[in-house]
Amino acid sequence: MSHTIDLMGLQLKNPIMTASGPWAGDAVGIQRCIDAGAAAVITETISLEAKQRISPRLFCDDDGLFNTMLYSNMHLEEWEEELSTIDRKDAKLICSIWGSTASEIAYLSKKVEHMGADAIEISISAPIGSRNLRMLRHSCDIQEFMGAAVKAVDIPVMVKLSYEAASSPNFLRELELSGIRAVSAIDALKGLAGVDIENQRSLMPTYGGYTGQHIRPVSLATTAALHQYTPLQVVSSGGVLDHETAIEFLMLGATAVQLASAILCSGYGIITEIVRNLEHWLTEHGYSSVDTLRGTALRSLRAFEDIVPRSLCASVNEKCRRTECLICAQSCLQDAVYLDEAGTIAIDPDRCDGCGLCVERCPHGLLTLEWR
Amino acid sequence: MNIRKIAELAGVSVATVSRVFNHPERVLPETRDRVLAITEEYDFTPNWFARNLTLGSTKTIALLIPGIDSDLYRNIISGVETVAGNKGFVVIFCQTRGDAEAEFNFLKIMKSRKVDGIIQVRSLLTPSMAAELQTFNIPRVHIGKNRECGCEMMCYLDYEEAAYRLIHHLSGLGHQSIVLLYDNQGDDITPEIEAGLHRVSRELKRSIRFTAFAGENSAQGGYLAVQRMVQNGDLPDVLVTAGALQAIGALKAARDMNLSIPGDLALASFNDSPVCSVVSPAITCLEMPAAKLGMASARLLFDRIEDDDQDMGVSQEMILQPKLKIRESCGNTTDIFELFD
Ligand SMILES: Cc1cc2nc3c(=O)[nH]c(=O)nc-3n(C[C@H](O)[C@H](O)[C@H](O)COP(=O)(O)O)c2cc1C
Ligand code: SF4
Ligand code: SF4
Repeated sequence: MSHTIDLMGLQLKNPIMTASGPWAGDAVGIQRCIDAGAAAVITETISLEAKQRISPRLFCDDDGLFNTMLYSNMHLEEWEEELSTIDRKDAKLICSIWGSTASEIAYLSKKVEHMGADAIEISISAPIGSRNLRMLRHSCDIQEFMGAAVKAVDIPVMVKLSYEAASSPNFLRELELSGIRAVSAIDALKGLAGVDIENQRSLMPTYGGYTGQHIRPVSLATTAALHQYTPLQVVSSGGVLDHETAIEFLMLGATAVQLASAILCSGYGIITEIVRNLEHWLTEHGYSSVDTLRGTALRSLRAFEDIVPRSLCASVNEKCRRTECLICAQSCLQDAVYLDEAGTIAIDPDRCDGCGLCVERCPHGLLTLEWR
Repeated sequence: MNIRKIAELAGVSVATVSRVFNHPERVLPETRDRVLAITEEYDFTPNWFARNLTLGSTKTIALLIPGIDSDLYRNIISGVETVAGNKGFVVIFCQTRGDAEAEFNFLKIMKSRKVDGIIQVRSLLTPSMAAELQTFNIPRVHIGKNRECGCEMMCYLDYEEAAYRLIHHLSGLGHQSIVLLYDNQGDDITPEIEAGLHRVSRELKRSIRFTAFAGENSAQGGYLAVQRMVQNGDLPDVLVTAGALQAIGALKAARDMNLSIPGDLALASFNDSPVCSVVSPAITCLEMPAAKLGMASARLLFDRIEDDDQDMGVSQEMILQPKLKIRESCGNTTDIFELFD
């Protein structure tokens, strides 16, 4: 069975891509992504200047990841040399670029096209360092900037969006008019790991990009919302950890997904694993192609206003005497959860307003919401 | 015929065609033979291949620059040299001292030395001089906006947008009158600043008083400017200096005259320098991407040196964007004055 997809007119052998970042920062890294089975590899972001790297630049918090890396530290000339040595096999190579003016973006686009890129991803909103606020604030400029790239090259162009940029319908409309073919979202969120309160110091010296599993809910919502806002193809980034999270994004309408933090935390092997597991899952569940699965969960989403209020009340399905737990009682703003004379958990239906929190939080699944 | 068409005909990627010429050992023999057969059929030689065979290349480029006494020029030189180094080229350096005649002579000397390309910084060539160079046949890039110097490629900084951002910020802090101290040796940036200022006035519906005068681009120049304004009794809300050294001089003058910066006079500089963040109060300024400017112009030049027919097809003009670095001297009072956003 084939799981090929069409992204901006490019045939990808599967919907798993690798995102822009240091795992694809030179020929060796890119080759490892390709060899691991990625359908498309996006280079670390290439700009006219090689960016300096600060050390340390990666910070962790549980499984959340913060980075203070801004784009590639290689010169354009070095990139030219590196890219010429890659054996692409059946993978596509997408060059990520950043520029501060329309002419700069057009130049870089043309350059990477000459270097053999199959497509271009323009980074417009990394959360680290100074951003091009003008581009983000003035929708009219974005059309000029992106249009300059589209006009300069014959290969398809996509734009990588921050959460903020992806949330503006006006901005997206301007992007669409510029002639780009797809958007990827979301880029890292702006984050700080915390504050050392004994010493009144931020744990990180500057804002970082917050990525990984904790940004997945934001990214999932953005994928769904982008479908509402724009007919452009959507490539999801942000918290794709395994084949199941990849499927979530596809079911919310993503054309393909990008891996980033997953590679940093689990190595290049995670790409192979996700591609393999995704294929198994699709076969097992009887999907003949990725296209038949795409967007299928969107149907289950509706506007808040359209959700008819149901009259539900919490109920206990199994006697519980775990007085050391009482999570349900602590969760209830209505004070509806109490211990009856027998010392078991009970719900006062007159007080319960059906918020559902006790049900969600009970570690043993003893509670459910029932019709009154 | 170009590399993309060859790749299409051979059914391989552009990178593979590139590899056939650069690293044939890394390409499967049958793929290599197919690509070579097609290139032969269409009589195609890729330019990066040809460039190594170009007869008469001296692997040198010339850089004509007014001086080396400013951070801006030093960074341009460093940017040009970085790219030339990446390409295995040597840079011949000519100091024009802002003299059109000297610049013209250097160009003729460089021609006789058979350089492969020339970068002219802030060229002062007149149209008649440019006409004489018509037959030159050496690729030339101009760093600056003089359209009369006959260079087919140009690279410059967007001062107007920079001025707009700076003045927008200053105006947002409540400042209503601005004096510009520009460099009596360098470009007069007054028109760009005025254009930026008008945009701000229009947008914020607020009038901003603006005057400008010239001074030496040194600490001394900045010192004298403040002294002059104080003695004339017409201190503006903000002094914007063209150079960072002028701002440092202004800081010293203020201290000597018991003026508080930014209390009595706010200060900002149109150029950044490492000292701006070290002094107290730290000086708000625009960072000019000068090294990037040098790199960009060298790249335009090498694109032209290496291939006349690869048809980059992009505009031969590149505009770069300065960055606003808000620190303390402008009157900014937020705590995070070293984060530029
Ligand atoms: C260390 C690191 C470096 C990154 N560098 C880039 C970059 O150069 N360009 C870019 O567009 N995104 C960059 N990103 C953002 C990722 O491509 C991706 O959008 C983000 O990490 C969210 O996905 P994730 O949650 O799967 O990590 C970087 C992310 C990390 C963690
Ligand atoms: S559903 Fe909400 S209101 Fe009802 S008992 Fe549980 S926590 Fe209390
Ligand atoms: S949360 Fe669940 S396990 Fe804990 S006390 Fe309540 S019903 Fe019992």
